[in-house]
Amino acid sequence: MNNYELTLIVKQDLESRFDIFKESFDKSLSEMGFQIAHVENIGKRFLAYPIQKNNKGLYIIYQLIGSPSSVSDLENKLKYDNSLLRYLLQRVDSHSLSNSFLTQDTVEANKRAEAKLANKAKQDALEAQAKKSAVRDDAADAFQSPKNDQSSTKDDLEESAQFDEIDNDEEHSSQETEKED
Amino acid sequence: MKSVKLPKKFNHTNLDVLKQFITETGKIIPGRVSGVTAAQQRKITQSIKVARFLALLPYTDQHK
Repeated sequence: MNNYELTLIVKQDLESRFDIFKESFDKSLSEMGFQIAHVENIGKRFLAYPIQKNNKGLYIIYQLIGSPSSVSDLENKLKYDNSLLRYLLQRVDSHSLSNSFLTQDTVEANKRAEAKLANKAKQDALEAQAKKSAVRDDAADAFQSPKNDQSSTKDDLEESAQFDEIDNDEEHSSQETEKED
Repeated sequence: MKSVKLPKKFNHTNLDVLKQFITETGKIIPGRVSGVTAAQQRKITQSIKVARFLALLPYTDQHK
């Protein structure tokens, strides 16, 4: 008898039927002659990179005790299981019989994601408020000083015309210098 | 050399530990730079590679 550690990444689509999947998987494990020493159900987690266009996966870690002969059966089953994104079957010296650091990490990551969402919602609300008040201010400005705006645009036009003249003069002078050469 | 925190026992699930030994682009920091013993570095390298396979750590920062 050897100790094995089996990590599964289950497709996210199965989330609603996850309990049924897990029950049937546990059953098939015991049918193959594996003893389940410890199960760690980590749950949904963001993948570090997409696998088959999936961005999230459901993680489970089994700590199993079984004979080497039944491993090939298990490998065969895992290989052709369409509900799995990845699996990793490792032989280990001894079982920890406790949760790995992944559970804690996932819980913290989920908390962070929630906090981010809450923050974003708050900011969006604030921005919406700011926009509303800004719109009101704009309306008030337009009502108070429509004449000033017009005069300023006229000034701008005159200024730009002056600049154009200056530019032309410069061009003439440069041409003249070229002729002299 | 930056100081690293390395617990006596760790495996591919200790992401906080392993993240100290990868660069921003996801590469494994070499042993001559990380400053840990050769035996520790071998274990770190193996753990990072397993964690990458399980999509716990990125292979690169170029993933879509």
